[in-house]
Amino acid sequence: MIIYNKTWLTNLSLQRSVKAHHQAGHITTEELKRVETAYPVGFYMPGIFARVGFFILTCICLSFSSGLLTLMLIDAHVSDTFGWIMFLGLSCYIVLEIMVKTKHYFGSGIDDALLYTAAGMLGGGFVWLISDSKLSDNSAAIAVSLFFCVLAIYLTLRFADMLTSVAAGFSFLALVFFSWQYAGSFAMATTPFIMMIASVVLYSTLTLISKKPVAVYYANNWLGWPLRSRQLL
Amino acid sequence: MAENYDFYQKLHTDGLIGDESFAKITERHLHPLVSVHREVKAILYLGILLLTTGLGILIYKNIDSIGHQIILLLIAVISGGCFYYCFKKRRPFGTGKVQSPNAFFDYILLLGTITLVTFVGYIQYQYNIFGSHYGLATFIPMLALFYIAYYFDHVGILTMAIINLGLWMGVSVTPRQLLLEGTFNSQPVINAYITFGLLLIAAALASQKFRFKSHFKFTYYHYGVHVTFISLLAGYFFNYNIGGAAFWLFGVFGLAGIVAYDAQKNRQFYFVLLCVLYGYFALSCLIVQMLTSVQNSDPFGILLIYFTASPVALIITLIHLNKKLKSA
Repeated sequence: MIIYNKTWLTNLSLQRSVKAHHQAGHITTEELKRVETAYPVGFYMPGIFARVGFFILTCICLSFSSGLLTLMLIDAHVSDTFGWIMFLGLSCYIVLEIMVKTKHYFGSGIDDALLYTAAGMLGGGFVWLISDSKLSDNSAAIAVSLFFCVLAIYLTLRFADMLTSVAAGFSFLALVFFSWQYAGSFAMATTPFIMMIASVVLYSTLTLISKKPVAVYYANNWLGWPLRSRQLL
Repeated sequence: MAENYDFYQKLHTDGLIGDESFAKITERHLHPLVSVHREVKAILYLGILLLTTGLGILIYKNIDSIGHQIILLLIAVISGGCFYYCFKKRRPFGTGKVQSPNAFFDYILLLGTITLVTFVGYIQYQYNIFGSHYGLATFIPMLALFYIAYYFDHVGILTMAIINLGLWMGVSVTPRQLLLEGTFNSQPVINAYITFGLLLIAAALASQKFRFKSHFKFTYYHYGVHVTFISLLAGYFFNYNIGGAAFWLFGVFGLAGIVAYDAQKNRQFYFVLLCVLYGYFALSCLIVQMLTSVQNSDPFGILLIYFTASPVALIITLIHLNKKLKSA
C-alpha cells in the first residue's frame, strides 16, 4: 500500500534512533557514520527551509498551470462542471505518484504541495458535485464526510502524511456525527456520548495499530524528527 | 522498545559500534530516563509570559484604585530584583559565546528586561517624561536593550533591541506623519528602513569579521536581509508609476547577489533560499511590468506560461544548489 521503499523507511527509523543516541553522547561520530552507510536511506529529504521554499514554488507552478489549462479549454465550457476540477486533482495525483516513484521525494515540499493540491481538488470537486445534486442537507454532509474520510485514509496509507491523517480522523468523527443525526430528537440528546464513544474507538484502534510492526513505516515525519530525546530506545 | 535494543545488539555483533558505546546503550536500556528538559523550559517561558500579561491586565483593571506611583514602584522593584539577581549570578563578559550560569538565568533576565521596557513606556505615557521627543523615548530603551543583550549574551533580548532600533529609526524620521496618519507608505520611511536593514547586515558582517559575539550574526543577518529586501520592494511599488522604478529591483538583484555569495561561503542554505525567492519575486515584477506596458497586447497567456515554467526551473536550480552546499 505504501508508496515508499520499505527498507529505506525501516533504515530511516533506525538511523533516527542512532542519531538520538549520538546526540546523547552514547555513540561516537565514526560509529554513526558506519551505521549510516550500513543502513542507507535513499530518499530526497531536504531541510526545513528548502522544504518551505519548494512548497511555495510548487504551489505557484500548480496554480498557474491549472489556470493555463483551464484558459486554453475555456471555450469548450470544461470549467462549468465539477468534473474538470476533479480531473485536475487526478492529474496532480498522477504527477505526484510519478515524482515520488522516480525521484524518491519524501517530505521534500514538492510532494507535499502536490499531495495537498490533489486532495483539495478532488475533495472540492466532490463538494461541487454534491451541491449540484438534490440531496437533503444531512445526506449531503454524510456523503461529503464519507468521501473525505475514504480519500484521506487512502492518502495517509499511501503517503504516510501527517495532515491527511488528521483530516481522516476529523472526517471520521464528522461522518459519525452526521450519520447519528438521522435518529431525530433522540440523536440530539445522545450525540455527545456517541462522539465520546467514537473518539475512544478511534483512539484505541490507532493505539493497537501503532504497536504493530507496520507502524514503523508511518512514523511521524512532520518537520523532520522533532522528538529526538523520546526516540532513545 | 525491546526490538530496538535487539537492533543495537546486532550492530554490536556486526562490529558497527564499539564495546564502550554498547555498554552505554545497555545502561540506558536497563535504566531508561525520561527527559522533561523541554517541558520545564516551556513552562518557565509560559510562566513569565503569563505573569507579565496577568499583571498588566490586573493593573489595567484596577488603575483607579491603585495609583500610578505604586504601580511604577512595583514594576521597578520586579525589574530591579531581576537585574540584581542577574548581576550577581552572571559569568564574566567574553567576546565569544558565554554560557548562562543556570537554566533560570535567561528567563529571569527576560522578565527583568520586559519589566524595564514596560517601566519606560509607562512613565512616558503617564508623565510624559520625554515630552514629544519620541526619538529619545525609544532611543534610551534601545541603548539599554543592546547593552543587556551584549553584557549578558542573550539572543532574545538582541531581537528586542533590533526591533527597538527599527522603531527608533522609523519614529525619528517622520514622527508626525506616523502618529497622525498611521501610514508607513512614504519615501522617507522606506529610505530609513533600507538604511536600517543595511545597518543590520553591516553589524552581522562586522560581528563575524571581528569575532565579537559572532553567534549574534545570524540574528542580525536574518532581520537585516528581510528588512532590506522588503523595503527595496516597497520602494519599487511606491514608485511604480514613476519612471525608473525598476532601479529598485536592480537593488534587490544586487543585494541578492551579495548575500548569496556570503551564504555560499558560510554554507547557509537558508539565506541562499531567501535570495532566490526574493530575486524571483523581483524578476517576476519586472517581467509583469514590462509585458503590461507594451501597448495593444494581451500578455495574460505569456504570463501564465512564465509562471508555470519558472518555478520548475527554480526548483531544479535550488535542488542543485542545495546538493552543492551539502557536498562542499
